Amino acid sequence: MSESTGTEAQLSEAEKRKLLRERRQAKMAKGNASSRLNTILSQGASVTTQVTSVLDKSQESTESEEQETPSSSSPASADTTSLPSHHDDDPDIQDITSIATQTFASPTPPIGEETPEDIDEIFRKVFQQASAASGSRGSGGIGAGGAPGDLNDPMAQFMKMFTEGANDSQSDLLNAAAAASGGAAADPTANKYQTELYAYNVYQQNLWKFRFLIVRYLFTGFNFFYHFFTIPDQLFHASSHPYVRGLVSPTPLTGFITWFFTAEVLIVASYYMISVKTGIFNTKHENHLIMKGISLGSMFLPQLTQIRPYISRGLAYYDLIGIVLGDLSLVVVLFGLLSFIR
Amino acid sequence: MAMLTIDFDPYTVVISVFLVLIFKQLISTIGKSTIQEFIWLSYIQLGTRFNLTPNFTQLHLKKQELHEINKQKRSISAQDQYAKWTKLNRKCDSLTKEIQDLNEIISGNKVKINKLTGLVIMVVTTLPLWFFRIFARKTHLFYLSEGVFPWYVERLLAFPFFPSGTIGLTVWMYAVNSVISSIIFILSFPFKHKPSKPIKPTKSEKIVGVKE
Repeated sequence: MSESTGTEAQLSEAEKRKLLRERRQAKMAKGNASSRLNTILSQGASVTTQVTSVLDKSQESTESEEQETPSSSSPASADTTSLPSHHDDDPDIQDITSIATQTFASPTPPIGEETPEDIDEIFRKVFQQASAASGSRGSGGIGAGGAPGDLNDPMAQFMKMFTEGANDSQSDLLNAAAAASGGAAADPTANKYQTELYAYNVYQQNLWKFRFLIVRYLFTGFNFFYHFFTIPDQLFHASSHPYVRGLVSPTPLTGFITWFFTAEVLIVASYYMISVKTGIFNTKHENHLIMKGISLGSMFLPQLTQIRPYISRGLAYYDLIGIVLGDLSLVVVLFGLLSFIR
Repeated sequence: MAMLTIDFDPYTVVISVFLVLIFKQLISTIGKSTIQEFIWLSYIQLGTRFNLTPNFTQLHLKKQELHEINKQKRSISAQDQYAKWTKLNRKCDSLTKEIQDLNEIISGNKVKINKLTGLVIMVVTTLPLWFFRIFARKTHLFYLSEGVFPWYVERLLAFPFFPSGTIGLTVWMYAVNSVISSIIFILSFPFKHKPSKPIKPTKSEKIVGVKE
């Protein structure tokens, strides 16, 4: 017993399988396949079945063929009987794992079983198709520039429909987006970099805003209180009573507004210079409600993308006007809070 | 329509609107949900300490009792005095369940507290502004001395229908909002986390990243 176990242990898996296969083939070669099948089918049943096995049928057919063509009985046919491995359908590969992990190159994989594709990869493909479509349009139509198969591609048609009517700036935008991502859409490192860069830019924008705000408020406050305390007869005061409108000042009161506008011009110019030089304010209005509305609307009306740069510029100018209005607001608030004096 | 206006002291309106807007901006900066959570936690703490409702009194007593039983349970051996220990344990379990039920009842009040907090915030911030918008819309809040601003700035500040050199509620609210938000920004920005400049990934890094 111990010897047999030792021998079994010595046999490898392949050898075991080979032995089993040979034993099975030898059993089948003996014939009586139908009787064995009937024994199996009648086990525990009161009615005995009488069926003929396929193996016996094939044997019978070979025999009949041999009888029909006796001249064809050659050593080869003798080999087929002696080597029953040619009769069974057992594949040569017996390792089930190799079969289980085998991938079938099916043109239409079953629904839900295809390899999940990265969404960024899909977008990249869409962008490429869009740029290809616009490029080919520029070079004399799809038929001229693109592959003939493109004409029948529904996705290309779809993208063409969307990009139609938009000028080159749109395709430039798409190309820029693709170039900016530079295939980075599929790269998580680049995505992380983009996110961090955005956070850094937002911080830089706020930092510049903070610096300018400090300077603006300090200067406006100083300018206001200087005139508030130096102009005599409380003429640089606001009041809840309307008579102040009729008072005539012996000294000119324009000094305040002169300095105010001078400072505003300097501040606005510096702000504009810095925004152009650093470029950190370029993306400031991307999340503005109007810009989002345009992005959404361009899905239905592609012409809207044409006015996008103008809106962006308008918002940038609004920022500059906002600086002046913000400082004017500070002056109004100071006047209002101190209006109880008169 | 003229009946809808009330003759306010202009400076009262100036100061009231200023304070209400400060309060409103502070609430929006802190966040309504944070305030509601803070009030709920304060309600739990104060309710437990001052026994504001019978539930809090019961909860307090039950917690004390549970504490005592736990102390007794720890003082005896479960093997040597099994009967007593089991009795205490059973009591402990029933008390824990009762405490849980009481906690659930008290937690049910959270919705009420949140609703009440929201209502108070609205009454303190939104309603006064609407009140002033309706009843003080024609009030001349203050007048600027002539010659301080050029006529076009005076006209702008008199928006929408006030005489030149007059400040109305619309402009006053805009100015106050602008100044308060700027001051809050100046005060809060230095405490914000400063992100470091990210390093652009090189091509080789990209390839390695993709291969990985």
